[in-house]
Amino acid sequence: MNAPWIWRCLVSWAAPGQDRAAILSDLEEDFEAIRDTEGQWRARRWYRGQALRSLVPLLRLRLRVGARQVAEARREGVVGDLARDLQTGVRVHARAPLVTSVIVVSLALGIGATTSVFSFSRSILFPGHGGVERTEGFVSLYTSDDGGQPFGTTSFPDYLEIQEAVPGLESVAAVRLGVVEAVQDGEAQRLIAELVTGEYFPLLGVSLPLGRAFADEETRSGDAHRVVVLGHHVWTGRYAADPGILGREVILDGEPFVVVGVAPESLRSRFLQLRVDAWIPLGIPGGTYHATESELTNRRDREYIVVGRSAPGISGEQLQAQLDGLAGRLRTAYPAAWTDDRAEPRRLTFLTEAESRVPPPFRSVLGGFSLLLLAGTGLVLLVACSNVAGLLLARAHARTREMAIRVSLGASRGRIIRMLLAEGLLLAVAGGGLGVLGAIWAAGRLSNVPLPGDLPTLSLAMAVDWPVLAFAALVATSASLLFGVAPAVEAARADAMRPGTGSLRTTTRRTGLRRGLVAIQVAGSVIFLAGTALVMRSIESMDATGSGISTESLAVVTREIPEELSGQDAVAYFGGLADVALTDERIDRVALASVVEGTPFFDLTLARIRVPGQDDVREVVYNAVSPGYPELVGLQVVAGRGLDATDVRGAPRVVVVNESFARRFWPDRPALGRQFTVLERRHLSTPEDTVPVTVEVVGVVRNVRNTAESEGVPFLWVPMDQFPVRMAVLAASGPSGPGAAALALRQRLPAAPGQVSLVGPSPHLEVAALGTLGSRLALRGLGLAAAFVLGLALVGLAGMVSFTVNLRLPEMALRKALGADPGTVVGEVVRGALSPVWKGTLLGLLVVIPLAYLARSVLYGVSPVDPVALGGSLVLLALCATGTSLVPALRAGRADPNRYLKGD
Amino acid sequence: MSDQSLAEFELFVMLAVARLEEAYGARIRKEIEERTGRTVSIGALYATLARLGEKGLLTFRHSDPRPVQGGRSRKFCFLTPDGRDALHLATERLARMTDGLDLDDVQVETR
Repeated sequence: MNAPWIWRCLVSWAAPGQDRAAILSDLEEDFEAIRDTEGQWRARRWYRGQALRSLVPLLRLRLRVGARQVAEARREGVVGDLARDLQTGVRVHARAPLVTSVIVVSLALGIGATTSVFSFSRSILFPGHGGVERTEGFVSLYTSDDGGQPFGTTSFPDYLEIQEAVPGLESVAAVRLGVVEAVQDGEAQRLIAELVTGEYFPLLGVSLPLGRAFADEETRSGDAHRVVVLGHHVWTGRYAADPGILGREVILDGEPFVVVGVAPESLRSRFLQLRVDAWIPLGIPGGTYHATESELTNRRDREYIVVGRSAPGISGEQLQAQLDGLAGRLRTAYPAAWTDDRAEPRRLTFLTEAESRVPPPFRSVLGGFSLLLLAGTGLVLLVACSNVAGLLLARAHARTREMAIRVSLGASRGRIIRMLLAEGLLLAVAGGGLGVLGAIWAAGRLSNVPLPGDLPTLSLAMAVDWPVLAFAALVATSASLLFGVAPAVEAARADAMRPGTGSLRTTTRRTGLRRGLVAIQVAGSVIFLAGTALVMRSIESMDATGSGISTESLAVVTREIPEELSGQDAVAYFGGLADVALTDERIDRVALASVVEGTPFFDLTLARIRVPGQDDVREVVYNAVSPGYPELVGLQVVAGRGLDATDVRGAPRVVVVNESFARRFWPDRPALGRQFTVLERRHLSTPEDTVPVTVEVVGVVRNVRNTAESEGVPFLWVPMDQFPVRMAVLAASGPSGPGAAALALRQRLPAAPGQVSLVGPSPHLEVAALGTLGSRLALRGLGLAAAFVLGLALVGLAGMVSFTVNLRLPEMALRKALGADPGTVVGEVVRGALSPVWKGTLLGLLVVIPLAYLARSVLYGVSPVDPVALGGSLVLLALCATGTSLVPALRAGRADPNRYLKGD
Repeated sequence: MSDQSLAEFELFVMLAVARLEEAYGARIRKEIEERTGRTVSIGALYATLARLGEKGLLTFRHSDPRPVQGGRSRKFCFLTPDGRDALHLATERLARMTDGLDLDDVQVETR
């Protein structure tokens, strides 16, 4: 190799690195060839020429390649670092799978719980327009109720008056919520239905995706057709979105209805934005839930939500003035119906679409509820973040040594922070992703509130609240990133010469902070656990029928006497039905009543009475029953006697009252033997009912509670024989349970043509369920939060104890070596672990007891300091906490002295 | 079909690569010199190779060092499908431009 070195060096310098070897090699090859043929001198001269001529192009090539490489390197450098950091992060997290999964789950729970609880309350408090496509000018109209509260429902005749006499409204519609039984393939299912007048759909401005809304003549009272508009989910779910559904028949309450349309998905009830399964024209004659004659003509029967659309150019004041004028005229024309219990005239008011989304009477209650929920969600997030913080701090401490080594090997602080941020990012992404999935899952779960019995599931318009989700995700991931870089702070102080863990020279620095975090988590769990327990107890006490009757084991069927029979024939007619029912072996007891306490229709039967010595006429709930009925439902007679077979027509008219009735009218005297006048009975009654009759109290029964609100309502039982009804409930029980009895009733007593029957077991449960709806909703939110928070707190506790034990393992080992009993060591660890637990418990109790006193009004029959609820939750917490700390404590007890003493 | 036009020297390099069984720097340079009589610097050749590589007309493989003492590696060049297309196009265009043209008969004018 005799190439001139100086020119070689020049070429080598000028050539870009990737081609350098090849270029030199090529020059060498030619050089040798020339040298061999033409001699050394010529070869050298050739080489020099090549080098000089190549200099400029090579340098330009090198510059170009260099610039490209720099750009690529810059791109790859950041990505490469990040990729490396993420790889390291995965390894770090995989090394401690338990801690990692706990952090991820905490983040996920924090994000998921916060989002779902908040979304849930928001869907109740700030519902959407529920399918009203033209919101401007849309109003809801209210008649003040008996107590004078302005936002009550309206009677059908009054609705007709509003339609006629308020020029400021261009259109008015009435709607009411009901439950119908749909039968498909022999399977009965309860549906939530809205009974609407013909104006309803056009008024909302709803365009149906399939078919049409009701035609005018289809909804006219007394002349209505049996047509139905199906809910979108029913159409897509039960009928697989079959476009051929139009014109098909569905059986509702035993009658065929023709499907004429499918409602848009967004259309919901004006009440709580419930999902509606079917819309039926109001005014179909006959049937339980369909408008009866009385419902459509009686002004006292206020069952309807009335909505309207104001005429263009009409101001709110003008509309209100017109409503006031109408209310005044109605008061003059119908003084009895238009006077409330306080002897004040009733009023008509309206609210705009947005104002009417949450019924005003609920607004303050729901507002308080939402504040509680907000506080609750904040607490969940706080617990989740403190949990993540605690665990990351623990991990930071465990990594002191690693950080010290990194620093001593020359890692800059920035580099270490970047690495830790990448690790935090991994946790945040995993936790956040799970959280989002959890929130979506929970939204689906929470929006469907199952009710006991065979009531339809209530479906709320709930969707994941994305801004809240984003906020929760931001907070939670910030916590993981913030506390994730804690080791970097540690690293700044780290002394490579003083390794951190695994040595006797450990520090208990900042365990105080971690204990504080655990205490916060425990306090949060106490609050949620106790709250959940109180609400559970409250629902339990509402569900319990111990206060009166037991109708869970009953099957009921409603029957109306045929039109051609008079009220006098009713008893014989219904008696005949009872006899038929008794021929079935699945039924052993039957009784008749105009209502069954606790069924959805219990308050349909009202009587106006006048008690001697008291001026005002009172309205009370009454029930016309057959002998044997009180025993069947378990009414407890506390004074006098029940109704029996001697109380027939022609005998002295007698009644049995409940304790509330007795207390209300004769507060300081026994009620037995007292007489009063029944002026008028309403609903389901016969024409004779308008004749006043004097009755005598022969018995007093214990109060029956039908709903949370009805405790203390005066009740009155009269013999059916003396007070005939046109429609009655047959209640039956049988040896094989209410389901079999209901089936037997259905088979033995088929509905007559034109009659609609409602058959179902456990009617009592249904009403109890509706009465406790608010509590049930609260329970769902609270229960979910309690489970989340307790889980988080236990995880935090486990993390803290585990961390402490790790720190103290060498010490424990040493003590064992010096003869300490492993039991003592375990006991000490558990005691140490429980100290933040009881502090947190105390803190939680200090918060939850005043809260429970504030929320006393929603707790039914439960003291705010209910020992079962509070004690139960504390015991649960104590058990969980002890169990959780026992695992690491046992590890401490097994510490091997040899392992730890070697190092020191 | 690649429509990359080739400069004269690029065309020479491509044709040399196409012609040679083992196309690497020294061979290509020699091939061009022998056929065109034009002196080719190795620097200009490598700059052109790099440009053709960037255009996607050539691809390269660095061989292991030759098994002799001080043996160096060679940078072998190969036409890519695009390179072959570009070469087709360039030679066709040249052929079409020169088709039926007798350069001896071309009228010239002296200044």
